[in-house]
Amino acid sequence: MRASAVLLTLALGACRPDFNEDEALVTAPRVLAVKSEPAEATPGTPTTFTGFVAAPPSVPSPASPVWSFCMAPKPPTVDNVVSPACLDSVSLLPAGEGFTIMAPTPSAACTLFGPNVAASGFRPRDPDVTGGYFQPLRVDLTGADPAFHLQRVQCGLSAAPADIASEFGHEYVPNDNPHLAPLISTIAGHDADLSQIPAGAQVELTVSWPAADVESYAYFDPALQAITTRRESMRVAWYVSAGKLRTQSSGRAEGDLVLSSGNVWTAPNSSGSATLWIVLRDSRGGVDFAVHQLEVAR
Amino acid sequence: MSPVFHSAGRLRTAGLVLATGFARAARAQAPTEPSLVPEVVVSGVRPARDGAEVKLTAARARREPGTQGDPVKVIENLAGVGRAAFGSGQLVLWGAAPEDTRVFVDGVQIPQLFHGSGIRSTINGDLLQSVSLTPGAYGADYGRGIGGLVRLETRDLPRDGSHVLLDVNTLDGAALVSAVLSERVRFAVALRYGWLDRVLTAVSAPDVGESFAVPHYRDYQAKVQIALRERESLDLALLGSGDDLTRTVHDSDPALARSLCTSSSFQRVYLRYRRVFEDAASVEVVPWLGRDSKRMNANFGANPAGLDQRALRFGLRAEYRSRILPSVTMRLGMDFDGTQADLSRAGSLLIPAREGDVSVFGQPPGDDTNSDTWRATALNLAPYATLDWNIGPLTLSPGLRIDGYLLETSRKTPRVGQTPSIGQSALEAELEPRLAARFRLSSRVTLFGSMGLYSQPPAPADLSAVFGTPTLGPESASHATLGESIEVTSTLSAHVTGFYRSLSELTVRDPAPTPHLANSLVSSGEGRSYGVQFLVRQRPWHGFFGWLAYTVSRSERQDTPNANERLFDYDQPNVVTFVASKEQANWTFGVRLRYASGMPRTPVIAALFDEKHDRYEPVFGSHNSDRLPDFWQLDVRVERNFLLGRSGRLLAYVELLDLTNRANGEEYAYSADYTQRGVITGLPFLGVAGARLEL
Repeated sequence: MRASAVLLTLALGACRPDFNEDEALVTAPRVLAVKSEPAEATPGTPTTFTGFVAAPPSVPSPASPVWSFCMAPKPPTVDNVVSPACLDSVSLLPAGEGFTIMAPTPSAACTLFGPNVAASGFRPRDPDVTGGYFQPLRVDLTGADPAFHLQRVQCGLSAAPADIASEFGHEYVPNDNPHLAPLISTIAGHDADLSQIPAGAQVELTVSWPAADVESYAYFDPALQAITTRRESMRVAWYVSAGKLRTQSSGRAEGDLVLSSGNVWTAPNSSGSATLWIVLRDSRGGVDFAVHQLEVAR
Repeated sequence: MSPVFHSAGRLRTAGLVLATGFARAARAQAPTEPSLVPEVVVSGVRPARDGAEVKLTAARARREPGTQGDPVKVIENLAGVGRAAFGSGQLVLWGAAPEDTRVFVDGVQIPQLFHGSGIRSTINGDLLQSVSLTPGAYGADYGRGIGGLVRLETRDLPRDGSHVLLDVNTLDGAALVSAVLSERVRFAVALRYGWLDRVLTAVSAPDVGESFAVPHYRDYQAKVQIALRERESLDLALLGSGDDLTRTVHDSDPALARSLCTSSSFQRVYLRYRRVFEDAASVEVVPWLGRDSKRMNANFGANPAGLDQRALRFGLRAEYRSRILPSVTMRLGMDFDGTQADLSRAGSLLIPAREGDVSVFGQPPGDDTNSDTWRATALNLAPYATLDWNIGPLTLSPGLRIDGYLLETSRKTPRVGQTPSIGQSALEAELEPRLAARFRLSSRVTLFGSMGLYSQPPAPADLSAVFGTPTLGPESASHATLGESIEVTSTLSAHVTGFYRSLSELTVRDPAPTPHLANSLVSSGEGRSYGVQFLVRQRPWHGFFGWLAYTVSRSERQDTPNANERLFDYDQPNVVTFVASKEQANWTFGVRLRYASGMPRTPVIAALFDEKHDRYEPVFGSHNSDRLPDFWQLDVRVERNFLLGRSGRLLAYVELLDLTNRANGEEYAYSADYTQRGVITGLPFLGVAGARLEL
């Protein structure tokens, strides 16, 4: 906090607490991401879900996660992505156990979480900013907070005129998962060998993705009441078991045409192993992830 | 007490409501007061007829500590007024929501009393005659609000010469010029321009702007006063105010970048015709026209949130007062108000937030987005009548107000393509009896009480078919007070007032997982607030002046019949304010001490991981079951008066806010995984220095 006196004014600033936390540091087992195939499912069809679970090398491998669909719609008054009822077992529909499961996306997804209404006179749910609707899938990992994957479901348009809904149905292409290209790592501009990183070194990390993975998609703009075309934005989440990352997340906005994103990892000052987890997400809910072993040598 | 003469020729004690006629006679001025001081001096804090109203002169109020020379800010120091969160500028009166309190200038409603930061009022205090606060249970002449009432009266302009007033301080700069154009015509113009935002940017921490909003503000006023005939005048006035605020938080992750851009403004033009007849009857007519504008554009990553409101405002107040019997004074009036608002909104349903929303500081809104544009029209015609009936030691003031509402919206259901919209129209009538009574037990002790029914139309922003409910009706309330005033000495008095306010048909969010179409808001909210306020007041005595105000209260809400009762978001059980000033020769020393209970907050008891957004989200405990830390603040004001010639003076002042440098907690903040909680502190210490030149 910076303070100085100017003339007769002295004002010390308002202050936010400093929690001294490192959001990128994994200190206990946790679910980092869930990848579904297909990335955008038709309700009632089988979908494969793969959990991306991180655990630091110093702790035992976590037990298999338990998966459940939450069948409680989120009230519009709730900021969170899921209803508080999703924390109760009565609203859960068991989906399986294991790091990868296959389960049909509930057939009622578009009614419970989408634009379809059970009876006329009720308010259709609002889509997210990409026009998507999502079925919550809870993932319970022993010792970790409950994690929720939001499975994008294909529901079409219901609050639009019939001609626009029909046009949208023809133009809209369901989302595909993006793909991470191999990680590029450099130290001071030179290629770095991740199996031999000098202690305390600053490793520049760059991930990229194919241009085709930044999909353009049809979007119904409720303000214009017309179909427009949007382009996905991309986010990268970075996690590490040791050392320090400059940022926990990075990415490219919708209008940013660059196909890569970078970060800097400062290796620990002592030798040892570390794990780097990377998650790539597109704005429609598509996911890819990768894990890298890092060896720090004195 | 200082006597005050009115044109009707009657003598009243200072501090009582100027109920008959308007002041014309110039008052004897204190030697140190310049000619710009208002002609009619109503000294000190004193309850009016119903005991709930407190009225102060602007000249006295601006010299109180904590006001930074702004007489309107003295309201924050009065009994019954809760402390607003830093930077909010909100008025919390007897546990009422800030948007339920109405503010009038010469009978013309304005949308906001303070600029967005709450640091300055939107009306230049040098144009004001008096500041009046009624936390509740006010008379039949005002309505359309279920909270409290703030009335500002502009002053008569000086009758001699030209005058210039300049006030420059840490917060802003202001200028006022007045002149006599002819024997019958006088005018004044005033302008204020705020620069605190730049001062804070230059001298304070970089995260001030992230936590608290200090907008760029300005306001302007003009007044022309025309003496038509004997005891007849016409005023033409212009009021204007504007606030702008832009905040941006950059991030390497576009999903975490945030921006907020808000602007608000209002303008009012009004005529004020006043005439006092030979029989002491009087008439006052105030037609007015104005515009309100309010815009908010925010982005939370890719999620937008925007609300744009532009409203044409118009109205007419007319009142006739007459003594119909030696002991009975009657007032007949008509209060008309119209609003035609064009609105557009996009983004989350939960932005802007409403009272009762559960969230934590900095939490992004939900993903759900939508869009709507609509027009809302509200016309309110309210005839009213009141009597002031003196029966020996008892004064009864019964009143009746009939509020008729015509509420129209352009769209009853959400828009679907180019399908023509079907509008909604409703007529509502509210019968609102009011009663005030005062009983003088002895020359030193007076009992008083008041009660009444109140209503207010729905806000235009709530009438969206997408984000609200087009068929919302008025909200209603009943108020009651009972109190006692004791004149301990000729200058020292004590007052105690108990109050109760019941609220019904409050507009709240529909908590159902799947609300009905075009029904996101429902009129199912109920609430009540009750408490007791104490006031010990020392009127000027050997240069000493001050008061001690303590309000103990509780305010509760129940959003739906099946919901649990909860504390109101602004509930503050204990609020204490001590204000004292001492004049010594050309020096004035003032001190203000404030204490307020922390406002309720909903605790976070756990967290879940939102894999889609790669963030944790809070799991909340019982609604409003926790509180922010208590608030303490000590302020000191010192001013030195320099006489310049026969009529001018220079006033130099320094005001030290939060002298003890206590870091008051203004909000809770949480770590990213919600395992840690900390307190965001407000401005620990702020020195305001300035000079005021009066010529």
